[in-house]
Amino acid sequence: MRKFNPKIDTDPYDRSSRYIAISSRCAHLGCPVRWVDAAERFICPCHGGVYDLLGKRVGGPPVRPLDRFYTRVSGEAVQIGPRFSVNSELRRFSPRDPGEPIDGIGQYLYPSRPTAQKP
Amino acid sequence: MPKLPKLPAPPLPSALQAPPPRPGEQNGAAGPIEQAKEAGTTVVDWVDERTSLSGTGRWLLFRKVPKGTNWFYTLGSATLFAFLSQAVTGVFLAMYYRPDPAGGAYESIRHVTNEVFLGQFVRGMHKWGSSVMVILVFLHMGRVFFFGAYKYPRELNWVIGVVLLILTMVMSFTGYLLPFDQRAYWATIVGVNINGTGPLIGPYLSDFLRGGGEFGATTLSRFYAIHMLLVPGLIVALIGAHLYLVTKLGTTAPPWQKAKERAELLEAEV
Repeated sequence: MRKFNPKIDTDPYDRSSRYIAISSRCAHLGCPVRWVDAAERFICPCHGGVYDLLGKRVGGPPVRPLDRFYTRVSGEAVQIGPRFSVNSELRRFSPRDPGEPIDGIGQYLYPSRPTAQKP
Repeated sequence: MPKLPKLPAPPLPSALQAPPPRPGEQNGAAGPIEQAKEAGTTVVDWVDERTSLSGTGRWLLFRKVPKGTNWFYTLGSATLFAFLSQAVTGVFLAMYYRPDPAGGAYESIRHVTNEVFLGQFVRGMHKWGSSVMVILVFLHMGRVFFFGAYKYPRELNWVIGVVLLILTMVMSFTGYLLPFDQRAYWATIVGVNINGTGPLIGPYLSDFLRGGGEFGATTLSRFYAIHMLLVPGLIVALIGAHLYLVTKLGTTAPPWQKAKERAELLEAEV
């Protein structure tokens, strides 16, 4: 999680949030990614998925950027809300399982489910 | 129904064979010793008279086998034995296993491995036996394929075999989660997500496997139920159908075995 930075978070869908919370669940098959300082990237240990600071895919097998969480500021604390998935332009979708692309036809092939919370 | 062949006589030397009854013995009521001697036969006869099981037994066991049958034909029996071994060791493991995601599952596995008498051996048999079974299933499938034994009239048996192969894979997948250590947890997350990448039904399939949108406490008990109730029953039923068809249709000769042409069918040289 980090503060909204207008120099980095330039995508139009991102304007409203004051804090950015990125999920560590890899968008390939769900292994936990970790930030690697030397590479300045998120790297997944299972199958080599690589993401940049925004969670966008840089390399490897993932089919979409890392998921995010809703955030809100309550007094001194930043609270984390429900998960949502983003496509390659960081447009928001209801949470999808790893391995399910949501760009183009993907959003129809892998529809939102009743068990998934709507954003 | 064709007349079934008689059971072959045991190949004992004549000195060891029971002598025929003396002329007076069979007359009159049998004494207690004779009755005791006949007790086993009487019980078997009693059951057989009411079930005709001996005919089924002869139908199952005394079959004609084509010339050229070789060791490759034993791979199916080897797979069956691997399954039986998995069933027996699995029953013993189930006596100790607790499908408790809050540490109980891992603890019970640790208990079996480290403390129960021969527990490590039985668990090792089950763990390595699962790989052996998968390998044997594939070798058996390769034998059937390369010997052309899937052709008419045995296509249905091939189809049943493919279903059995898939069920074996389901067993391997669901069994992998049960130790509930880090490796099992993450491997199952990856496996469930691979299921989820199937278009349209994939997301629903992974929801079913997990018991909800997220991997949780339900997932372990669900995998446990699939692993030891649902799939074993299906496998036993389909193995029964598989073996029935093998007995009914007989085995094939290897493809290099030429049928000997009968003299009266040969055309005379002109």
